[in-house]
Amino acid sequence: MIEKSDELVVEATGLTKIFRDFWHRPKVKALTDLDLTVRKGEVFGLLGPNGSGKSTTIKLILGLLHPTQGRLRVLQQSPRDVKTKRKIGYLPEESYLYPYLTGQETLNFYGKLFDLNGRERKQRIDQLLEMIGLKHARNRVVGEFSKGMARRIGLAQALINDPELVILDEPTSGLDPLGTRQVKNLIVDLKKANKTVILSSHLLSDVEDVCDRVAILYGGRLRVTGAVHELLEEQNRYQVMLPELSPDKLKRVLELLREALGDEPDVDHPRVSLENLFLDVVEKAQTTGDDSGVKHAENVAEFLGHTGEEKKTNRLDELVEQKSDGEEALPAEKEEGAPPEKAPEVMDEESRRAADGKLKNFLSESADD
Amino acid sequence: MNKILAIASISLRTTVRSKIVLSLIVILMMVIIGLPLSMKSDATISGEVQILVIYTLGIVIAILSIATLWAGCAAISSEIAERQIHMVVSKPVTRFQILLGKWVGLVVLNTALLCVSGLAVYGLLRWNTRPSQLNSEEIQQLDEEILVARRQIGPQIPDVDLEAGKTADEWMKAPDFPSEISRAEAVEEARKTILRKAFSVPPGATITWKFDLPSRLRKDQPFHIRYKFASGRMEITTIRGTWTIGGPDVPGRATIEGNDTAEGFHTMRVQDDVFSPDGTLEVSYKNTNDQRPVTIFFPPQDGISVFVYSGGFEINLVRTLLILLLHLSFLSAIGVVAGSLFSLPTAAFTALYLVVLLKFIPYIEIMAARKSFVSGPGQQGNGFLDIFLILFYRGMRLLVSPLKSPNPLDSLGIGELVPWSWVASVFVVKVVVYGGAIALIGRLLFYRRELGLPS
Repeated sequence: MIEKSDELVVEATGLTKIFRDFWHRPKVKALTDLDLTVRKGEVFGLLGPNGSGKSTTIKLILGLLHPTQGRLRVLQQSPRDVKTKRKIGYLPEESYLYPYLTGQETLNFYGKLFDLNGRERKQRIDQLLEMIGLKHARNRVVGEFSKGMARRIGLAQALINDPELVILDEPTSGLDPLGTRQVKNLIVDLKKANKTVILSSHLLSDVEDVCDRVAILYGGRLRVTGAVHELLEEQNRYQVMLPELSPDKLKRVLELLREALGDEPDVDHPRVSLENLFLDVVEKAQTTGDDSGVKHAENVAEFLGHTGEEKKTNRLDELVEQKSDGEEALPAEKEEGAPPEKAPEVMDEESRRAADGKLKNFLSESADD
Repeated sequence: MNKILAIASISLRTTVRSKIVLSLIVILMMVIIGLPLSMKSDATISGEVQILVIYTLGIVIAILSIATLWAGCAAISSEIAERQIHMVVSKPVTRFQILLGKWVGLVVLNTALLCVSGLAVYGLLRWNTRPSQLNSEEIQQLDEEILVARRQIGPQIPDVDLEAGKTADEWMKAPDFPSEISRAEAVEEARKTILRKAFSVPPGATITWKFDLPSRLRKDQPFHIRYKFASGRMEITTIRGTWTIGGPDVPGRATIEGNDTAEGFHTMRVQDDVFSPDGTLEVSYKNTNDQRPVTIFFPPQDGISVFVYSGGFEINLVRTLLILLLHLSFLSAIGVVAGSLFSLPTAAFTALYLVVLLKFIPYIEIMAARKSFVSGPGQQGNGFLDIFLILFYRGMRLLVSPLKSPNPLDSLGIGELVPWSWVASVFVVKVVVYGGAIALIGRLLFYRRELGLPS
């Protein structure tokens, strides 16, 4: 697939980074021959264990490191160009903040670095503090903040310029599940506002929840890249969710399935995730008026969504159109030399159609009941 | 510019809130109040003022210099170590703006600390020299000689270049004249010899100097003649002489008998109108040490000077503090650039080395004047080591000599004018030329530095 270059937010070709010692001798090869593209408007996950090259990749994108070999373009420009940085928001792995500044002063400082005028800065700071739930702590010095609060301020500073590209390195580290959910919602909202997000995280469930595509690095090399749903989907297996059934109907369903599969199906009750259970409990507690520490706000800062509103609609329309045309919205990149996908081998087509028909009839009957 | 000011203001707030500034102010106040109490002056009013102005302010500047170097080195290196720089560099800010911002922050901080110190010293000075504590003679001395800005004017120096050239040529014709001495060096030596001769006064002889005084000289203010001389015989240290102030056609011409010790400065206060119609002042000295005849020598550079009123002490103090601020700004530039390139200990060591180098400028100049290092004395060194060391010291001299500058506190302490031209020259040399060169080198190297390297 040929991609339009203006759609590429990050374009790395043969990117290699070698760290050298004092005498300029090669010490560590942190990244080897990385080919990577991040497209406009997508949430891209960078995965890998410690020392896999994730942070090196992010630092190269930010111009904090210089490539040893290869080509890297960010927003069609050199990553070291100051103009490029105008459109980037960055949350590092740890919020490296000035401990003697208050939350408001911190955001004000970073706002000034983006040449935002006083009025604009004030508006954005108010909205961001509201969004991250730290409005009440705006005049407290950052050095007194908990890790989670510092993380939130770090997140706010990454968004103060209404960036086109948001780079989040472990954004949920130090946050409680509520904060984690909020960050994930925020990432989804950023995507809706047509912003590109690069997310590096060890928490695979977070990545899975929000990312369109991921790249998995190991030993400084790219091992897998592609759309999340395609990478995770097991093409040769199905999962059927059923409403609550009487024992009799369940028995009949199982018989049909046995007949269709020729094998015993796995039957179990679905489980809610611990995260969802926790959030439900907290939500109920909040309705009683109790609170703890950080005030959790729901709305994304107005200025972040505002500019992308039109684009958001267009992009959603585009996605719907692509879906209806039977295309994949975000097709996976295929690794060179990767094995061809296996065709699911269940049963012959005729028996399968017959079994499917019986199952559908049964389900419509039970729904009528 | 806004970004530079934002970075400067962050540095300032951090320094103020981390209580570094408060600790510095406490230390400075302890020095300003404690030092004059612990030092003994010569019991004269001028001695007391000198302790406050020269020594106390001198130590304040020494403390601020060390603090500035340290703070400059830490300004960027600590942010690199703690990775706050990642958050700044990932914003649309150039590396040069970061360097400038940190430098501006330090300059503002030094300005504030110098103002506080200057005001404290001035307040203490005024308190210690309040009229109720002094007699009328001390009050007059204070008003006319110490708490004042007086311009120092040297005598007209006779043009001896032609004569020096002829003398040097004659010397060089002599068969035993050392071959390694160039004509220029011989001319310079001849010039000094002729001037020494011109400023020497044999027994019974008279020497006359002429001074060009500024046309806007305030006639209501007295002026002072300061002189010192050396005795031709070590055992004779007190010399009798007669001073004549004013030319023969001047109505207020005055004659003063003197009996002065050699090797020390002496001052004469002159009130009358003793100027010639062309605005010059003529001063004569007759060696009348008849009982033990001896030749005396007035050093050509500072053997005799006229001090005339030029302005108040306060503005002189401001100019002095400005020169010191410019010096601290230069140190800030060294510190900030060193801190942007190295870790804190390495940066501090490098910056300290450069500052120590500045203290050794006179030594470097002496070494640079040498013609050999390993060859015998008086020989021109031609070996590799000689050539290397000669080139090294001459290169160093070329590099650091322009930074040589007298201490303005020495002038302030004796009521000597610190002119605006001095402030301007320090600004041009230390801030524009050297500060600019350091900034450009820093910009180039800091731009190339990878700030995301694993620590």
